[in-house]
Amino acid sequence: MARAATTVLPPLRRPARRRDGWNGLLMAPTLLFLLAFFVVPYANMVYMSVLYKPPDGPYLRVFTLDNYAQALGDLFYWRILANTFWYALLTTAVTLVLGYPVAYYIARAPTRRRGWLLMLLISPLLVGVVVRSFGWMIILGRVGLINTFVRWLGGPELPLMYNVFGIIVGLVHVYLPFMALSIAGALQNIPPDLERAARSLGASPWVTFRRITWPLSLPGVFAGTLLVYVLAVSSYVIPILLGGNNVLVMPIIIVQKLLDAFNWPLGSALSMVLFGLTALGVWAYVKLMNRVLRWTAP
Amino acid sequence: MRTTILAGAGTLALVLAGGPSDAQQKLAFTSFGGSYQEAQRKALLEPVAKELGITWAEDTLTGIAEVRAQVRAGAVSWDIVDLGLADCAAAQSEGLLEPLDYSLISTEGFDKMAFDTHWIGIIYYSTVLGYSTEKYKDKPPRGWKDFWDVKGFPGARALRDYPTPNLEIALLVDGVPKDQVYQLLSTEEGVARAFKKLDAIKPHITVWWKSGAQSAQLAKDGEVDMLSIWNGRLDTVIKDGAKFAYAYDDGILSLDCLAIIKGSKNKDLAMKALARMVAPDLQANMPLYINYGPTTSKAFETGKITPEMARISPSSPENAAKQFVIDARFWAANRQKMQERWDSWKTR
Repeated sequence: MARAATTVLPPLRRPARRRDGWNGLLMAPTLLFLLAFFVVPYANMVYMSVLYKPPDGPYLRVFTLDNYAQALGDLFYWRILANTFWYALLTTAVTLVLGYPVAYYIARAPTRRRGWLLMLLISPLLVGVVVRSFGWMIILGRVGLINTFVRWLGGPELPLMYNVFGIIVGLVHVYLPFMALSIAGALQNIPPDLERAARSLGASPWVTFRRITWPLSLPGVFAGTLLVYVLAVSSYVIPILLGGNNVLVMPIIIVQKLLDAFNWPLGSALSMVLFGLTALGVWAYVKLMNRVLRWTAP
Repeated sequence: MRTTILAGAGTLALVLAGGPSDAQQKLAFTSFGGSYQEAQRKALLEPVAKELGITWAEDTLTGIAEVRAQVRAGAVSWDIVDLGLADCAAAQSEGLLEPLDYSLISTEGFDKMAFDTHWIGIIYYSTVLGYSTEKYKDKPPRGWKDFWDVKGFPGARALRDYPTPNLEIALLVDGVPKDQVYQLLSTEEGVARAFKKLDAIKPHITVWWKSGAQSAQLAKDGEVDMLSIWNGRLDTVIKDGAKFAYAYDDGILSLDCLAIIKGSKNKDLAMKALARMVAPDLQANMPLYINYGPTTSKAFETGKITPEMARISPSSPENAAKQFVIDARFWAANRQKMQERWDSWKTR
């Protein structure tokens, strides 16, 4: 039992209970804030989702499960849901592949340079997502940077925007920092000595990565993938701008039901369905990851 | 973007100023942003501000949805709103607007279809088929039939993500005479026929635009080769150098209205301001900034509108006669139903 290795893992398993009676109070402001601005509106949404929608006006205070029957009984919504989850998974996978090396480089950089790198990594977040989407439109458009260059070379016009590709590019760009930061945090907690020890005991770089670095960074990978996935599932601005209102995801449908069709009950029910399925997926993923972490922990 | 931010800041300032004596001097005006709202600012808002000694807080909207949200939530922060014809009519029947006081507002020179108890037309605009002159050169599309002809006229296309006037256009393309379109749309077969015609073009639409500014951007950046677009927006873009053109022959004539949102905190002052905004002398300012037509024929008599401007105006008698005219009454009765059909069709 290499105890040393287990202690470097950030405590995913609950630490031993301490007497922390008063410490709980530290949470009070956050909890109050969440109660007022998250729990109450959400409860209102749940309530709205079981109300009756009359032909004129948004809702009547008559209880019905029709909205859920409509939301769950229509194959069309399932297709949109499947697309939404699929795009989020793609985004998560691409940010993981792109973000891991970046995170590794940052985590192993000298402290001084690390500060700068972190700033660089976070800098895209200083610009609003709408502005960034318009930036991508300039780059990906038919007469955008890339296509102009390709045309100059005599190539064909590439469909880079107003399709799934454009959406994934936008989502990856926006959520990459979240992935890289999560992983960098975990990687920093791995003493470089462990890798050096593995190398000096004859492990190849690949084996060192596979047996030491990767398992120990899993908590960061876990946090990053979860964060990116949940953010990508619920994103609205990027799909609508870079998808040309042509590629549909659940948030677009929900906004359409709430605002255009003025069907608050159905919009709420669809939100609940999206929330429920996302939560279910997250729950299954957490279960799986916990098991994986238990296996990989020696 | 900058306008929105400034307008947002204005609204915030209005809220923060709070006191009733202060609020009396400020009115919130909401419209569709971009070159249109800029023209309204110069042509209407600034003169009215000077005359009445008020200041404007500006905001933007995309349609009836935001008006509904404010009224239903009991959080009305706007006074005068600009809406499209179908939305005006629907908003009136849904009780989202204050009744207009026609003892203050003159309707001289207005068509009797251009105002109602709760709204009054402020501009005529035409939804036209804009096409790239660079792409189609000497063989331009002639009318909406060619828009549907994807083999004869290849290229990227865009339409507005909205039931009207797409349903009307679809029936016209399908060969329905102009005067029978609404009769047909009032029947289930007619609506089904319109959507069936739209089915044919749907796979070829690259972008479903949501806002006027977006459609202008699509043309300006050359993102599409032909699109449905409001004539004034396209005129502005063409003036900026975009190689696009259009003709009124296949134009769909409609109007935008002004109305006072239900629960406006400055109803009386808003009524006075609105009465001035629709008056001929101020309406005649609009074509100086954007090519939309006045809703009162009296505006053409003020001397501000040159014959040259009248020649290209969507509401000059010659141009108006060529076009298909949107029926507000149909949309007042069917706005909601058609929106639902549209949404479920579009997402399928």
